[in-house]
Amino acid sequence: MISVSNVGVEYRHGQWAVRDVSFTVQKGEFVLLTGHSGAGKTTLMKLLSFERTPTTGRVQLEDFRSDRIKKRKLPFLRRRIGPIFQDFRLLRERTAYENVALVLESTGASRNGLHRRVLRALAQVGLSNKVSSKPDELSGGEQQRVAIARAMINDPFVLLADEPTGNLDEANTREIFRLLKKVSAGGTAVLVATHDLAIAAEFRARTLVLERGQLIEEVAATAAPSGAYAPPPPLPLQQASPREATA
Amino acid sequence: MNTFLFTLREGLRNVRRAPLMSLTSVAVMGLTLFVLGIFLLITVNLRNAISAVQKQVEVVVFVNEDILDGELQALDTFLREHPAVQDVRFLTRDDALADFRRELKDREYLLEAMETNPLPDTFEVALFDDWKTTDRIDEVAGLIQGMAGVDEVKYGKEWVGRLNHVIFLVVACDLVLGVIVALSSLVVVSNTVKLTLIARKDMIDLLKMVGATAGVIRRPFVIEGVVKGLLASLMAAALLTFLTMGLQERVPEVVSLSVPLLMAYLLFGATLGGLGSVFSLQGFLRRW
Repeated sequence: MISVSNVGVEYRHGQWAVRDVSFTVQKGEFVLLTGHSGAGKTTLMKLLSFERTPTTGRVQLEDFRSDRIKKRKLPFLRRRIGPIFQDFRLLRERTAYENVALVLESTGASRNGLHRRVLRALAQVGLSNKVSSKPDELSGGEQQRVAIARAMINDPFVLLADEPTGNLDEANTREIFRLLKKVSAGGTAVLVATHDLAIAAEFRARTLVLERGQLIEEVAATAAPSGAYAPPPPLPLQQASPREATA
Repeated sequence: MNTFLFTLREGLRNVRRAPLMSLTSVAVMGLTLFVLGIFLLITVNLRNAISAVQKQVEVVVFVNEDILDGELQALDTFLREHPAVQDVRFLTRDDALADFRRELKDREYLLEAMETNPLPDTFEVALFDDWKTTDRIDEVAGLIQGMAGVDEVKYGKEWVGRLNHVIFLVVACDLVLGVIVALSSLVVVSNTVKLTLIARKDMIDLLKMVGATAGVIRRPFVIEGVVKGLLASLMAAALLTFLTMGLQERVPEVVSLSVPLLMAYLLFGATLGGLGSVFSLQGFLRRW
C-alpha cells in the first residue's frame, strides 16, 4: 500500500509546492493525479519515488517510510517502483530489448530466465515484432510502450507515470492509458499524473485533483469529476487544441 | 556475480561507444601523462647526474712520515671497518709520486728539481653516498684526525657544502614540481572523465531510478577510466621512448626510464583514470 499522510513541501520560506496532502493507493488501483501546471503533480510524484523528502508529513510505500529510510536502502525501494516519464528516457543506442533488459541486469537479477522475462514484457505491450528496434526506429507511442515494459519488468508494486502521454497524439494517448489500465488490472498499482481532464473523465478512474499544492477534490473511480477543477482557458490569440475543444 | 559481468561489459562498451569522444579523452590524458613522463625523465637524469658528482667526493688521509707500523695497521683497520666507508685505497709516497708524475704528463721536468719525494703516504677513502653530507663527513674526518699517525684529513669541506646545498635545492624543486604536475594531471583527467559523464547523465539518472546501487552505477565508469588511463599511459610511454631515443642520439649520457619505472608509470595512468572517474562521479551520485 502507498500512504501519503499530511505531506507538505516548502520550497521557499512560507511558500509550499505541496501542502497537507493525504491519500492512500491500494494494490492494483488505477489512480489519476490531475491539476494545472504548477499545481504540484510533479512534486508529489517525486515524493512518491522518494526523490524528494517532505518538509512535513510522511510517505510510505510498503515497508519503506520517507522519515526513516536510509540512503543505502533507496535502490531497493526503487525496485518496487516502475517509473514512466513524459520523454520516455530510453537509451538511444540500445534496442528495445536492451533497454528493458538493462533494469534486470543492473539490479543483479539472475540471468536464468532473463531473456524470457524481457520478451514477455515486450509482448505484453504489443512489441514482440520490435524487439531489435532502436528508439529512433519507433513511433512515440511505441517508445512509451517500451518504457512501460521497462517499468514493469521488475514486477514493481506501483507504476509512477508523470505525464506519460504529454508527447503523444490522441490515439496513442488512449492506447497508453488502456495499457496502463490493463497493468493495474494485473495487480500493480498505477498512479498517473496528467493535466488531461478529458482522459480522466473518459477512463472514469479514481482521480485526485490538485490545485496550488493542495488536494481539492477526490473523485471515485466510477464518477466523473464534479467541475471543481476546470481546464485552463486558452490563452488569447492561441487556438485551442482539438482535445481541449472536446473536453 | 551478475552485476559484475554487467559492469564489466558496460565499462568496455562505454570505451567503444562514442569512439571520437573516447579518442579525445585518451589523447588529452595521454598528453598530460606525457608531460608527467618528461618530468620523470628529467628527475631520473638529474638524480643520475647528482650521483655521478657525489661519487667524486672522497676523503684523503695524509699520514705522518714517522708513523709506526702498528699505527698504520690500526688506521687501515679503522678505515676499512667504519660503516661510512665504501672503499679504501692506500697509496705509498712512491705511488703518490708516480700518480703525480702521470698527471703532470709533459711537464714532468718540474719534478727534477726535487731531491727527495715530498709526498706522504695517503689513504683515499670513498664513502657511501648517504655519508656525503658536510656534517657526516665532518664526523668521520674528526674521528680519523684523532687517530695516531694522521697528519691531515682533506675532503674539500666547502665544496661538499655547496654541492649538498645545490642538491637540496634541485631535489626540493623537483618534488614541488612533481606534486604540481601530478595534481594537474589528476585535475585534467578528472575533468576529461567528467565530460564523458555529462554525456551519460541520462544513463546514470535512469539507473538510479530503476534501483541500481551506487556501486553498480560507478563500476562501469571506473572500468572505463582505468582502460582509458592505461591506453593514455601506453601512448605517453611510446612518446617518451621516442623522445629519449632522440635525446640519446645527441647526448649519449641521457638515461632511459627503467622497466619497473615504466610499469609503475602505466599503473599510475590506469589508477589516475579510475580515480578521475570516482571523483567525477561523486557529484552525480550525491543526490538520489
